[in-house]
Amino acid sequence: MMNSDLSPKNPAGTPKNPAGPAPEPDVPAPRTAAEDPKSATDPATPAPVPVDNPDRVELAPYTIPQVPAIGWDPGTSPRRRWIARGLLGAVLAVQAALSLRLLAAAHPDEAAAMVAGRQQLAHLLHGTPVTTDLVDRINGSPWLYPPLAGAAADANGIWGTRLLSLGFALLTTVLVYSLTRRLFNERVAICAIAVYAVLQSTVVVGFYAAPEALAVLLVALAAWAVVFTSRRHPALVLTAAPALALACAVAYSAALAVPALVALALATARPGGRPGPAALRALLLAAGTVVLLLPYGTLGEVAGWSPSHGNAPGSAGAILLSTLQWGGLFTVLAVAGTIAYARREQMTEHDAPEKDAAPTSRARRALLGTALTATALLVPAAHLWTGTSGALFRHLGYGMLLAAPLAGVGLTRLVGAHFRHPQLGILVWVALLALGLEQSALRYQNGPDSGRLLAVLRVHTEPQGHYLTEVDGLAEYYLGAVSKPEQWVSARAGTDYRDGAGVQHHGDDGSTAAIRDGWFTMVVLDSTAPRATDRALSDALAGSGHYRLVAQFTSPTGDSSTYKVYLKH
Amino acid sequence: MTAHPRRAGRLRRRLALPLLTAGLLLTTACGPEDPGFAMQEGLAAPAPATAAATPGAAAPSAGTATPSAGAPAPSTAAKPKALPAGVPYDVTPLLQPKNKYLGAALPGVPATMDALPAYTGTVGKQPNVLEFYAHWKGGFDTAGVRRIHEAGALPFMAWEPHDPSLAAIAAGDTDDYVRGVAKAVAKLNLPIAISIAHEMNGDWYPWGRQAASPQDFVAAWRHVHDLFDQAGATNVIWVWSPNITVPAPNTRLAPYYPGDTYVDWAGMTGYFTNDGPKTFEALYGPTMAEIRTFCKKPFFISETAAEQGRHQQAFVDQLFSGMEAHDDIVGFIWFNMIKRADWRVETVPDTLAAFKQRVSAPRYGFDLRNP
Repeated sequence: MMNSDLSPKNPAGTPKNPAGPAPEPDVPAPRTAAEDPKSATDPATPAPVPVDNPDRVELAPYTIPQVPAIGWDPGTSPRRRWIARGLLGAVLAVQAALSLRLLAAAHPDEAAAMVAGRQQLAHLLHGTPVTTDLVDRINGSPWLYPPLAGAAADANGIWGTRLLSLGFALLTTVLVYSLTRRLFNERVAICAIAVYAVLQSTVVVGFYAAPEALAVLLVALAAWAVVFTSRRHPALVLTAAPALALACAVAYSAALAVPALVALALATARPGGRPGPAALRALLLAAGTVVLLLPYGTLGEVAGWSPSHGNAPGSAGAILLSTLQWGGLFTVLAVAGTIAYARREQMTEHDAPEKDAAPTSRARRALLGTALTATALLVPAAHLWTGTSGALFRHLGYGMLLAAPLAGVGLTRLVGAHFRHPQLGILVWVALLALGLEQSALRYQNGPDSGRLLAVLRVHTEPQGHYLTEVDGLAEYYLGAVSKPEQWVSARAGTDYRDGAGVQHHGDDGSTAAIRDGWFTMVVLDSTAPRATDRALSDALAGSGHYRLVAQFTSPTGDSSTYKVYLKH
Repeated sequence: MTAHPRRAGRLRRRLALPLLTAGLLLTTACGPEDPGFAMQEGLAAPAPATAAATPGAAAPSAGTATPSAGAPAPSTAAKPKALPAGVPYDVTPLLQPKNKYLGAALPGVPATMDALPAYTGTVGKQPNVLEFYAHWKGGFDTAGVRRIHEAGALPFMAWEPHDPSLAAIAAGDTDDYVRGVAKAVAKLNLPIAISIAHEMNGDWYPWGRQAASPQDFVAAWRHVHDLFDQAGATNVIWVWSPNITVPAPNTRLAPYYPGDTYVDWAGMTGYFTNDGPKTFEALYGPTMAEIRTFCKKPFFISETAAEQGRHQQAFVDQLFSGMEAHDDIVGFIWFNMIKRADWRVETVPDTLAAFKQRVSAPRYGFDLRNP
C-alpha cells in the first residue's frame, strides 16, 4: 500500500483509546483495589517501596493514565467503512440525478451508434446484411459497443441506451473510489469522487450513448488493476492489459489514456524496490496492450485515429476556452494535489507514520502525480494539435478520470489537517457542482434544434428518395417509419456514385458529383461537419441549380453551428 | 515580528484556490456559449400523418377572400392544414406552379384591402399575387402581409433602398434593420416574394445605374439574402427584377445578376406604351434572351400595364398571348394604379372586356395551397 495522508493502521506502540479523550489532569482519578490492593486490605502494614518511587516522595492521590499519541483512530474500522460507503452511495446518487435530468432526444452521434448497433446485432444474431454506412461514423470497433447499444435501443430506445451509459459511469465512479482509497485513503477517495462525479464530462457521458462511456469504464478498470497489483509480482500487471486493450478497441480515443496507465504502472511499483521490476511492469503493460490489439487490425485503427475524424474543427482559442471552462478548476485542483503530494507525503494529523510502509521518494510521488494528471492536459493538447473541438467534451473524460485521485488529494489538502478549513473545500466543490450543472444542461439545450430539423425532414421524406446528410443518424433513427436507413447517405462517409458517363466517384467527390447530377432529393448540411466536406457540398449545391434552401436552423444561443436543408426542385 | 510575513504567505496560499475558482466562474459566465446540441423530445416525435401529406401547405384563414366565378376558391376549396410546429414554409412548390400567377398592384394594399374586392369584381378573377412597395428602413408590415395572405394571395414586396446606398447595405450599415425584417418574415412563416432595388439597370431610381455599380447591387443582394438565411427566413421567393432593356440597351444585365443560389425568379418590369414596342416579343424578347444567357430561372413579369390609346386593347392581347407562348413565364403583375399615367384596366371598357375575357382562362390564377 502506498503511504497515505491518514494511515489506515494503528501506529505501533500507541494504545488505542476507544473511550475518547484522556481525562483532564486536574480531575482526581478514583483509585481502585486493583491499583492499590494493600491499602485496601491492611492499613497498618507499611507499604512496600515502589520501584518507580525509591525516594518515597509523596504521590498525588491520582495517576495519569497513558494517553495515545493522537486522540482518534486513523485505522480501519467498521464504522469508518460504513461511513465511507454511505458517502460513496450519496455521491453516486447525486451523479445519477445530475445525469438523469438530461432528458432529450438523441444526439446525431447517439442515433448513429444505435442505428448501426441494431444492424450489427441483427447481423450477429440472424446474419442480416448491414446496410447503413453509419458504422464508419463510430470511432471504435463496430463489434463491441454498437451491438450493446443496439440491444439497449431495442429494449428501450434512447432511454435504454443512456441507462446503459449511466451504469458504466456509476461503475467508473466506484472504481475511482476504490483505486483512490488504495492509493491514498478513504477521505481522499471520497473527495476525489465528489469532485469527479459533478464534472460536465462525467455527467454528460454518463447519459450519452457513445462508446466513450464504456471506454472510460474500461480505462478505470485497467487503472484499478494496475494499482491493485502494485505490490505483487510485476507480471500481474498484465491483468490490466485486457481492459486497456478493450478500452482502446471500444473507442479509439482511449489510446489517449495509455501513456498515463503505463506511467502509473511504473509509479505504483513497490516503493523502495529496485527500478528493474518497476520498469518491467510498465513494459509488460504496454506490450500486453499492444499484443492484444493486434488481432483484426485494431492496432492500426487505434494508431491511425485522430480527434479530427468526423468531428467539427475548432480554433485554438475556442478549444482552450472550452478546456478551461469544462475542466479548468478540476485540473488546477489535481495539479495542486500533485504538487502538495510531491512536497509532503501526508498531512501531519498524527505523529507516527505506519511502520510497515516504506516511505516513498519525492521523485516517485511526483511521477505518480504527473502520470495521473498529465492526461487531463494531453487530451486538450491532442485536440489543439488537430484543431478539433468536436468531441472534446467526451474525450476530456479520460483526463478527468485519471486526475480524480490527485484532485481528491488537492481538495483534502485544501481542507487541511483536522478539517481546519472545511469552508474552502465546500467552496471549491460547490463551484465545481455549479459549473457541472450549468455546462451539462447547456450541452443539451444549445445548438440548432434537431427536433425542428426532424419535423422538416419528415415532411419531405419519400419512400423512393435519396438523401445525403451530414447530420448522421438522426433521420435513420427517428424516421424509420417513413424511410429506410439505406436511403440516407452519410456525407461524412462519402458517396460511391457512378455518373452518366460511367465514371465511378468516391467520397466527397462522389457526393458532389451526385449533387451536380441532381441525384439526391434532399441534402442536409451541418456546419460542424469536417470543413472540407461542408465546403465541397455547399459549392456543389450552389453550382448545381437543382436545389433550394428550404430550412435553416441556427443555435438560439448564437454559436456557429447550423443545420441547412436543401430540397431538389 | 517574523510571524506576520509567514502568516501572510499562508493566507495568500489559502486564498489562491478560492480566487482561481471565482476567476473560472467569471470566465464561464462571460465566455461564449458552449456549442452543445439542442433537442426537444416533443418535436422529435412522429408528426401527424396529415401534416406529412401536405408539404408546403399554408394555413390561410377562411372568410376574407371573395373569389369570383372561374377562379379557384382559396378560402373554401381546401381545408387549411396546419404544418407541424416549427417547420418553415416550403415555397418550392410555388416556384413553378402548373398555372400562372395573376398579380396586381392595387392602391392602399396592404394597409387596406378595400381595393381588392372591387378589382376582383371588375376583372372577374381574384389575383393571387398582390404587390406592394416598402421603403428601406421603413419597417415590415407583418399585419399587411398577413392580410394579403389571408386574402388568398402571395405578398410581393418591392423593397426600395432610397436610403442608404446599396454599397452601405452591402457593408452592413443596415444589418440590424435587415435582421429584424428577416426575423419577422421567418416568424410569419408564410410565403412572400421579395424584390430588392428593382429596375436597378435604369437611371430613374436612386439605386439605379447612375448611383450604384453592378458590384454594389450584387453585394447588397447577397448580403441581405445571407442575413435572411441566417434568420431562417427560407419562406422568401427572391425576385431579381431588372427593367426591360429597351430603355437602357447599353447596360448589360449579367453583371447585376447575384447568382442562381440567390434568385428564384428572373423578374422583368416592362410597360406597353404608345411610343414603345408594340408586341410582346419586341417588348420582352431581347431582355429574356439576354437573361437566358446566364440564368435558367423562371421569368416573372413583376410590373406591367398598357398605356391608354388606340393600341391598348392590342397590348392586352399581346400580353396574354406572350404569357401563353412562354411556359417559362410563371405570371405577371398588372400595375392597376395612377402614377404618371392612368394604368387602371377598368378605365377603358374595351380594354377591360379584353382583359376580362383573357384572364378568365383557367391557366390564370390558382390556390396557393395547391399549386
